Amino acid sequence: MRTPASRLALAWIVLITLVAAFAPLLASSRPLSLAIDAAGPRHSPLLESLDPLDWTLALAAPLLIGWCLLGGPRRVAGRAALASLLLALGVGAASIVQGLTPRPPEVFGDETRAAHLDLAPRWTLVPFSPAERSTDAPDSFLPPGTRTVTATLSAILPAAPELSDSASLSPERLAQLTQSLRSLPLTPSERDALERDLAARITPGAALTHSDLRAIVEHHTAALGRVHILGTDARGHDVASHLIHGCRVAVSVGIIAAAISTIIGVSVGAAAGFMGGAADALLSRVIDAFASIPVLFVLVIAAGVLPRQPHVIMAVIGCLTWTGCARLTRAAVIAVRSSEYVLAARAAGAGPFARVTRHVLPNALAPVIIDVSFSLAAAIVIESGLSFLGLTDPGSPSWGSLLASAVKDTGSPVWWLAFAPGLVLFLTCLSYNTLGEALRDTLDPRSRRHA
Amino acid sequence: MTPGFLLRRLLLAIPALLGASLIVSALLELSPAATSLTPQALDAPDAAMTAHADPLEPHQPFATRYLRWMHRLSPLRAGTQDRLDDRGSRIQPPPPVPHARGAPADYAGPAPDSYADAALAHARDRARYAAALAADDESPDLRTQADRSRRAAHRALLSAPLPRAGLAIIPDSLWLDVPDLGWSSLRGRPVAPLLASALSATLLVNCLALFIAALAGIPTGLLAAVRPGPVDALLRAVLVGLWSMPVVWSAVMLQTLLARQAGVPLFPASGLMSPDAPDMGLLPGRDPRGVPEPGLILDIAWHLVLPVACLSLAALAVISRHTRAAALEQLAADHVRAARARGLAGPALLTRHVLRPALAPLAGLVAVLFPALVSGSVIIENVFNIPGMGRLLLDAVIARDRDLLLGCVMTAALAAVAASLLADALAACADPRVRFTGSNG
Repeated sequence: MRTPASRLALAWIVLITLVAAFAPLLASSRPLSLAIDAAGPRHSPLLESLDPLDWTLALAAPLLIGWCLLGGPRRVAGRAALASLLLALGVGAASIVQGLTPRPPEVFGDETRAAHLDLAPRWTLVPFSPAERSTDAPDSFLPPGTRTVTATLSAILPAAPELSDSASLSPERLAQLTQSLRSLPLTPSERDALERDLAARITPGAALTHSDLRAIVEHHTAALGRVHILGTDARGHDVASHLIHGCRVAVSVGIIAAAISTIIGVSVGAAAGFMGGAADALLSRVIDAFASIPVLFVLVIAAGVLPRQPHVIMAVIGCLTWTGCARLTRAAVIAVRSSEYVLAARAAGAGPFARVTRHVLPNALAPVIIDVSFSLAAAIVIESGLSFLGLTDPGSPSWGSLLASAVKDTGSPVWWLAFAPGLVLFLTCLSYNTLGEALRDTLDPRSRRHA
Repeated sequence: MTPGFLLRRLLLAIPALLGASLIVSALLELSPAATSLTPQALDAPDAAMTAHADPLEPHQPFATRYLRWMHRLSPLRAGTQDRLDDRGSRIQPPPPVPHARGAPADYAGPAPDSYADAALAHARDRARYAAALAADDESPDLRTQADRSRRAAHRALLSAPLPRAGLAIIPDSLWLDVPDLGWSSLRGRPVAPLLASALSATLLVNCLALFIAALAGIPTGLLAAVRPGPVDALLRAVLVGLWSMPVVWSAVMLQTLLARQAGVPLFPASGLMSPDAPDMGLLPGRDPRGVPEPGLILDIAWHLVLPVACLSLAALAVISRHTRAAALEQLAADHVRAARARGLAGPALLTRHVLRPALAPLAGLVAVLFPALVSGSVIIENVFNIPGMGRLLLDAVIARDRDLLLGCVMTAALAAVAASLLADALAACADPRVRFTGSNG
């Protein structure tokens, strides 16, 4: 943890984990707060929609941050690593439970928002839900920084069926529409500017058409729309929102799959290394057999054939990638098994299970801990690959499916659509690998000379 | 490499092959719509996912189907021999009825599900056709004697028993034949030729990637070893970056930035060759109309630039790291000190005294890198639309094509075994002291 690179890596991992824990709060189409009436209390559709698990995560995160800071500057890095691991486990558990009890996506759509415009809504950081599809561009992508306007406008200026866009407006209709514009939640200066523009155009004799009015209003109410910071993908989903919710998928799949593979690997490796003899030979053959199975091929088949739920993907990745960990554990256990302190424990009457768990494993786990960091990165990459191939739940946001949408759904490839999700994936992977290298330098000083 | 060693390695590969096939068969058994999906169902995958297994498909226990598949795979087979049709190809049972729900109007009971049943049905059809021909013999269309005798010969051929496949040891009870990987219901062809063509594309891409990675990785590793300090630190940082670069991202970025219809249209976006490539000559030249054309080799190379670049990035990093570690070890060894003491320096010292002994551990990397590359090529092939194993696998998964899936996994597992054999052979070339005696080779 000494080098600046490993500190940066740890900071990125902590950031990703925090974003994963706070994902529903960071990106949602539901307003953070609404005023039912000008004087009354504001209420919050966003907070009301959170389920208990989201609440637990959102409350656990500040507690863990506080615990990290309490340790003082010398312990911050270690505690942060542990805290992000714990938080990631929590996120993993939450996404398993939420995957098992799916709720219909609650989309606070443009129409609802437009109806709430006079309630002075305040949005969260990214005012889009991942499941929400832009009404402005349902089947094409929008470049970064685009504002949503159509739905808001059509709520303000309901289409007049009796009028085509080019027909001029009758004075009564005009009066009715300008009346409805008065109720818009604009600042006084914006309202003044709008009324000045309208007054300039509404002169006796000059005909004002519906589309003219629309253009004027569109110009002045742009601030009311929401901004797609990173644009939308080809199906009209907001990219930023997908990125944030994709953190949750990546963090949870990474941690749970790595946990499963470590548990299997350590158990099999420790059993093989400690028992020796025929058991070792048999288990080693099992490890060899699993290691020479083409993992990605079987993963693709498993992910494609089994139900597309988060826990299935986690279990499948975990159950097929444990061989490296098993080999490392076996070698380390064999190296430790016949040392004096294990013999002493045996002489003191400790049974085999107690000897393995209390004496051998604690002294043989260093290479495994290093390996966990690398296997976390590998699991995240595998998950993104599977979702890139379209083998995960199509409804759940994932970095891989964003990448896929950059090349598959758009008419021509769009690099900026792939850039952000790929960069986040790359940085996460790089961070876990850098952290693994740093851990290796710390825990396994022999390798420092070579690696 | 003695035959005994080779045999032992192949025997050790059997558990892996068994395990992989068992896992895949079990997975297919667990799937909600086992083996009943058809290309037609792909238009509505959700409906097909919820639809249960085809009620018309002959139902057998999992163990029976798995054992039957294994039996088809073994060269020595028991039971009735397969029969060949008039064109000399094996008579296969037809794929499952392509209707997930409800029988077609002209459905006449379950399809024959075994090779013997299929051969019987085929023989019955032939007999019926021969009878129809016989009834038609007096037709006024047959004017000449030649017509009549040709017709009689045809009928004789139809009523002859079907030729047997393979080499009989005891006729119709024990026989030898080439392993039969089954029938792909997705493509409507036997699995083996599909796999062969896909494997050649995948091998082309992967061997090139491995070669290029070694070509670039070994010099960078050596450079890092002989220049400690800033060069080493910089290389290490770059290599960790390359190593962490997800293949998905590099592939998508390269395709969106450099492929045709993208920002800088330098390279073709997809495929292994241009559509008109089969008509080209091997080398650059001019076509019959005098228009210059790149030639087959250059055309394929042009298509391979982006996929091979993506695949070789991570392998390059791994090779370079290992080269650096091995070279550092050799640089500290006595024989290098001795060579230095004799006044050797520069490239001669590096190549003959440092790189030469470092090659043996590097050869072992092939066994690790090659399967990883093949895994990576699943993604690459789907991005760049290369007709290799990865594409075949994905298509087969979506269509739940059982035989094709099992064939893909078996091929990939065998490729891994072959790669580890190759690694041993290379290690033996690099270091003559390596003998194939130990149980681990």
